[in-house]
Amino acid sequence: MAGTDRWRIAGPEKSFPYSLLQPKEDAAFLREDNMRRDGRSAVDHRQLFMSLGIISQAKGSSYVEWGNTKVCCGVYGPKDVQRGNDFKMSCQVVCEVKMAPFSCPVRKPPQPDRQQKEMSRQLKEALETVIILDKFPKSQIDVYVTVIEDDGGLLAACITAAGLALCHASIDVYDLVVGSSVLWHSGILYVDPSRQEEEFEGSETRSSGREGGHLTIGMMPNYANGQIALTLQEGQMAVDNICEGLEIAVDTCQRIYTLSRKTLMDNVQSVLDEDDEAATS
Amino acid sequence: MTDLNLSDAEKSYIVDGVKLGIRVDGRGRLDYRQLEIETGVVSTANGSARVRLDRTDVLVTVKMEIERPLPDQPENGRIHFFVNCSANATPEFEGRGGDDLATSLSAMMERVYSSPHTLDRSKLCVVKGKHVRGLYIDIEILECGGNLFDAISLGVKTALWATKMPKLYVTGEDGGELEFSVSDNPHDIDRIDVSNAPILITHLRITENLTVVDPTPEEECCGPVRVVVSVTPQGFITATQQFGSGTFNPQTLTASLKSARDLGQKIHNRLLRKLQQEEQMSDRQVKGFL
Repeated sequence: MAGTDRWRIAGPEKSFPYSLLQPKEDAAFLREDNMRRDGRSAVDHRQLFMSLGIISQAKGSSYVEWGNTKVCCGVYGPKDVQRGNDFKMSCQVVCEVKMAPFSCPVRKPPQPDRQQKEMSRQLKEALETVIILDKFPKSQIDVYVTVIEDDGGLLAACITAAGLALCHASIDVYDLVVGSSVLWHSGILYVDPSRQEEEFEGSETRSSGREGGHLTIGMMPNYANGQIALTLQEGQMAVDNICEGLEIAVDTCQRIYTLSRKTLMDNVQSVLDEDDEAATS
Repeated sequence: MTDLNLSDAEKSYIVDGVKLGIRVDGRGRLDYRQLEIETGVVSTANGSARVRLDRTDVLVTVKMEIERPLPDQPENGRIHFFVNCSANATPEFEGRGGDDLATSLSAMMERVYSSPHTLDRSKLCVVKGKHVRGLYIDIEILECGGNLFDAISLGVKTALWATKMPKLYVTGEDGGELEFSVSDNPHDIDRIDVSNAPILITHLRITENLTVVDPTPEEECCGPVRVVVSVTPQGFITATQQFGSGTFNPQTLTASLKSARDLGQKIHNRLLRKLQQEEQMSDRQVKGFL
């Protein structure tokens, strides 16, 4: 554990979010009309938005929005391996997921906590399988993900953003990597859970001890009939339910993949158009 | 994980063997190595267990302390995991070398035990909102012979099973501060209910769609990617996570989950039976490290 950061003013040691003092709302998981709280049906994904090139200094960058989950990613490199790191013949991937202090209802301290370190590690391992490491010997690729707002499905959004940014940086990959998440609640699978749903599911299974859980995958849908580069499941689920969830998550990935591809193609097309215009004028 | 350099010929020997369904040490793909577990090896801890899985050697201790609960969980006791990768196990762990592995291991254990299904932490409450029991679970890796995740989870479950916490009584109040008395009767103890505590089963992908369980370090060299599944005695899955850089085919993943469930339930049953046998032995000699 790194020591405390003396350059920052730490908050009072024993402060806690005031929301804990507020009476808890007794909201149900579903609305009265059997729709989810944000008006979706079980299989509906939230609205997606993807764009490329939002960081002009980075070699490649992307911005992904899933409902209120907002993530941006910058890719730097391939570049020389920084001093102090071990020399390796294959490429090294450096990956950091940083959650902005204001990204969650509860403030995140500026130093990375265990959750962020764990996410960085998972993303790094997933990206190491996605990038063709042999193409970049003795070099290093930096992938930085900043979470602006976390409203559920965070890891899936992060890996999608990282995949897009890598392609935007023209780094050779086996396939575009995309992520998706599903939630299992009282016998029904919900695609792309929001933060509220994730927390509700967590607190309810905590109190009732019933089955329920959450599954996130990151996959390359077009590489060797679909390969999963990242799996993370929590909760309490029977194997058959996980398998069913996995199938749905894979399907969702296919759909997100189509959109990510289109975003990339549009970007390439717009760059080409600009070149044409510059040449004619 | 360990300091091993295998030649291509050695690797293909292992990989081709797995394709034919036989491993270098004679096991099948889904066979476990011989497992040795002993409780009560450390007298200074509330509970301890040592697990040996061939060359893997792990020592897990549980110590209890009294602490304040988290503000959002006023009646839940707290569990802290610390993994120490000793440089004794492999020179690579020297300095900060084992930190990454230690973080992954403790994060996985924390994820598994944070779920309310696995352990009812409200049983660790002393005075709601003020004092709860905190369990410090220290995991010492003494020797690294592959399959650390499984060995550690078995060690933690066994150590928790063996944990004996003296009963605490609130005797009075003095100026807002509560006074406690700790029972010194060795039979007046609280134990932890681990009937639902899960164990981890690791499937290492060796080649294409073939996975092996309980891999040796040599096998870990051949396949970089593994999926770690946490299985409860009832056969539920409470956590799944992929480690290492490599990919799984969805069908392989599904097959691994199913085989982990079956194997996990078998190991749970055996473990419980053996632990009960051990407890009923009247004058058990602790074998320890001799």
